[in-house]
Amino acid sequence: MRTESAMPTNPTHPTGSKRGDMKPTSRTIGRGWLAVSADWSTPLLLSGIVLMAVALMSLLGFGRTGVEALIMLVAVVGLHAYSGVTGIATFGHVGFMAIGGYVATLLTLPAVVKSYRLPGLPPWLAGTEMDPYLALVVVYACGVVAAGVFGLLIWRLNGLAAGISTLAFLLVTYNVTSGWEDVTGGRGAVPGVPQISDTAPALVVALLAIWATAWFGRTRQVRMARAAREDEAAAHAIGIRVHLGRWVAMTFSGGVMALAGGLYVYFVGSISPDFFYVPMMFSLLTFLVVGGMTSLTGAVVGTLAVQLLRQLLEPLDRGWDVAGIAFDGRPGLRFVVLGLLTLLVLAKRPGGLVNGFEIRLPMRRKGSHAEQSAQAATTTSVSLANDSALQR
Amino acid sequence: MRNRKQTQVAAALAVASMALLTACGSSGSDESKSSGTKLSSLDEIVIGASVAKTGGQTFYGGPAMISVKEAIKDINAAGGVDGKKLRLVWEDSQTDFAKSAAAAEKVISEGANVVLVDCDFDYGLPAAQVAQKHGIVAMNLCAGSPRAGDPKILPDAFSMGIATNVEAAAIAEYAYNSLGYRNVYQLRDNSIEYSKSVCSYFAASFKQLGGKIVGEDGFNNADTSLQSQVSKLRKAADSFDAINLCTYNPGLTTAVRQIRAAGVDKPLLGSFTWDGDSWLGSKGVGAVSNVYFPAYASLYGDDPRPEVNKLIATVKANLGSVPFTSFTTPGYSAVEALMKGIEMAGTTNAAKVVQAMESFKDQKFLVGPVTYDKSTHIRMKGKNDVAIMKVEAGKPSFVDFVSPQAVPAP
Amino acid sequence: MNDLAQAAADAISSGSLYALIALGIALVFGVMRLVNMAYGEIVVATAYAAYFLQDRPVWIVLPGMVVAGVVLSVLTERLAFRPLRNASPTTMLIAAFAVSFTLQNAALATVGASPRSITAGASLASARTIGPVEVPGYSIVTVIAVVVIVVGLRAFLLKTSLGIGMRAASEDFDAARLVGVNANSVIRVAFVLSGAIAAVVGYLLVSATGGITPTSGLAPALLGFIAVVVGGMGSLSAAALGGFLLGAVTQFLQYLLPNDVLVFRDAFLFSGVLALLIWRPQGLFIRQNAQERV
Repeated sequence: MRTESAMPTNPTHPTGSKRGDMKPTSRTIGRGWLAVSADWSTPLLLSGIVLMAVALMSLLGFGRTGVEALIMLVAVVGLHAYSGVTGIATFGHVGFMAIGGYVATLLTLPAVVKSYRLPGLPPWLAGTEMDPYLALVVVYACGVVAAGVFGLLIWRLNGLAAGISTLAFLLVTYNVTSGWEDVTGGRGAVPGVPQISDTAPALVVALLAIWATAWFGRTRQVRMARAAREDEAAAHAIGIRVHLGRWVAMTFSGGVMALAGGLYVYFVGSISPDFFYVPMMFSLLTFLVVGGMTSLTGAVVGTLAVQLLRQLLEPLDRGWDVAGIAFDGRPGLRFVVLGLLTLLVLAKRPGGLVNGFEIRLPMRRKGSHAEQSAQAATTTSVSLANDSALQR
Repeated sequence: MRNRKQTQVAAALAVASMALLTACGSSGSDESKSSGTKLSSLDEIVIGASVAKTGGQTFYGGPAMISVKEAIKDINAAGGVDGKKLRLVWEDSQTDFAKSAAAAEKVISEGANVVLVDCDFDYGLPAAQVAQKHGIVAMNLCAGSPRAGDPKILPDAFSMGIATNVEAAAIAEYAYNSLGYRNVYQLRDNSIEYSKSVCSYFAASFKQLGGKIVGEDGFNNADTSLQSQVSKLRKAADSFDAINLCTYNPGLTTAVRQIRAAGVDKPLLGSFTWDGDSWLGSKGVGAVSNVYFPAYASLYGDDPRPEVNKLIATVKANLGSVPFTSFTTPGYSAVEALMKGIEMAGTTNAAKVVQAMESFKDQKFLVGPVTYDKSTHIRMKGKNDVAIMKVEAGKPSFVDFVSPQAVPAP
Repeated sequence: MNDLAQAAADAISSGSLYALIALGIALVFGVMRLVNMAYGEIVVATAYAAYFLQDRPVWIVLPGMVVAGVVLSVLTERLAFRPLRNASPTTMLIAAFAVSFTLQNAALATVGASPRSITAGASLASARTIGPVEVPGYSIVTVIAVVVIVVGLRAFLLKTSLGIGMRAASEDFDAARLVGVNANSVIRVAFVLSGAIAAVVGYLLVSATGGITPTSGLAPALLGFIAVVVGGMGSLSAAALGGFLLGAVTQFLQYLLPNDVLVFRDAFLFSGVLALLIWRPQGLFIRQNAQERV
């Protein structure tokens, strides 16, 4: 997962990407060794929020649920890296989690378990017992490759057609993982995946994902993809290579999703195709939509808020008897409430809770168009055109 | 230039985080195997449950937990285990793989000495693995997959379910010996492992007895039309005595309705998943006739075991109009078996309790004799009471117990 | 020969069901660019209505199902989709997912997870012989239902002022409003019709399967959704054709694929959908340019 930062645009645009990321570092806040690049204040603050949430969750006795929330956070950040940047809703990124999950399983499952649960494995895989953390590197690479190939396939697709193609991708992945008995063990669960359910690894990956995505968001390709999100025709007109930006976003997010899939499998300790299907996709979409799809802050806030809420709503299922007011509880009620709440957010605040806002430290603005245009919700195609023109 | 610097930073980051991760990983793995406590020094015995209250698995989990509560009540009324009372801590596993593990972690942190897990092997597994990590015995309420009782997978986990190969062998033997069938046609639902394996175990057992499988075909649980399969089956109708239909609901009602609608009235041989008043009854497809299936017990008051009838009456009273199946009854004996194991071992230490439970040989519990040994932590060996039910005009009734001999290897 | 005829009959019957589901989804998409993923749950709700009206004669059960479908359909429009009327198709699709999730959990919390057996339509299950082939009664009824509904819808869209308004709205919603088409009533009519079709789908579905669970809605919704995409968004006849095609392809794959490859039937199917999307994003039966309007 550490390879993220070395990944996206450089190979395709050896000359273009540098100026795009570098310019912002010239403006800093604070002094001396305390100085922080203003542009890194978003991931910095978000890291703070995540750390506080982790502390809060352990205070409230969330236990493992807190770790699960962090893994979901990785996935939602991955989802944002594509949907937030391109404006294309994806209904199939869970398919990359499935790929990550199965790669992690195949690499780390003890040979003994493989010999009787997956007897059809080719010999070179049957004996492999990789360190689970090392395996995550391969998991990430596989996610990148899978998303890269898939991204090439849907290169030209826009809007709804692109969203639906991702759904078709998920349905294919689900069917293949369910049917390919030799490799995946079929519909039944495969036990014995090395269990990692501590907070620290999930936290490290979540923070890395946030930082990498923030960095990624500042690259030239991504700014251009974002411009295309706001107004595709205008973007085309000024010569932005819209499809290339989307492809890069797809590739990057596929890697992050695969990591989340690997972590999830380690967390649960087993794997089955049903882990990564429509219900999981729906949860992730809820997190992203409630928070706000277009900003990293939205992805983080949405995930943490909904997870917290889901836990706090538990009395609806369990019932209560406080100060004479008794309620019997109705198992499943909290999911109904969560669904309604999602609808409410969609109706009242279609941009999500944060509505495109990126959290950052206050700073003096020096009228850079590039800086302003990064603030998604307020952008106009004109300033975006300036943005990309400036970078050229 | 800049590129190289970036790569260096990335590499440094990678190394640092890798080191951090490895450090965390190694520190996390040592805390397992808490030793368990001597029975005499306990105040009470806490029975943890990571079982669904919400989602699809409540169909099994809800009724089974009523049996669990009954068992706890009965044992406490009889003075507890060595004078220690039992207490239940039940956390909702939400029909969710990750929550299943989280719920197990929660009940263990609240002092659970044993952990009960969801019936479905896939859903129960994450919780059982958590219990294993903490050195606590886990018991699956009713999983039948031989994997649920395979100590190679989880040394400290058991299942009170009757293994799928035993269930399939029971109906095969009843068909061969009592009903005199020699030729069977198999229609297999390929959607999940259970439905596939129950058909292959049936075939193995039936052939071992001397019978013949004269034809087979497949379908998928979600299919709404089985027209081609049914046409094929009807063409072959003269060649077989009965149809072995391996599936579960909702595909089960679809298949039964379409087979009967095509005018094929040959006997249908089913499996455990056929049980339950959710579909069997005098209405619609449920008004089916000439059907035989194995079950844990009869839900209809005619089970020869009065204590089982009493338990089922209690479950029914608790659930009101909610349909359930005889998968509920093993829940009672799950508690009985765990407590017997703890009593014999004199401690909650997993290794000792497992050892004690591995010595069960036709041990008498409410659901019948239970046998576990070093290689089998599920009801597969020894004597087993599998109830055979017969359905006429939608009315199921108990016909016999079968303890199958021709059990195929798992 | 007989096998081929049987395969064709099966293809037509399952194609008809998919076409019906696709129609229900396409009707709503036409007027408000909403891909209604909650359609499966509305079908499930009508099936539960049939369950609660168990053993009543068909002239009570079927209207009861229609009422349930229409009321729920209109309610989802009023409460969930109307506030989003000007949102992007993507936002509305997500809202539809949320509605689907909410309804499914409401069903789980009220009627429970256990499958329910339903008497409605049992008489339609028995097989009828037509020439060389044998098909269950509900297949015949499904085909008839598709024909009747398509003809009826066509007449409605061509002859009535509301229908003409709907056609105008699906061409260009804002322009239609400018010339005096009442947006609310057009959309409400689309949801009413879509809910009524859901009841028909529900009736045919339970007569084939005999039972229902809260999660039964996912598969038909996905298939209907894919059918609409294959045929082409925004045209009723294209969507219905897409449904037929999807059903036919599914059945033929079932016949053609050897047994050990059969488990991958859906992978073939959805890869085909993916290929189709890439080749013709606007759908098979629509001629328009796919480029989004500026």
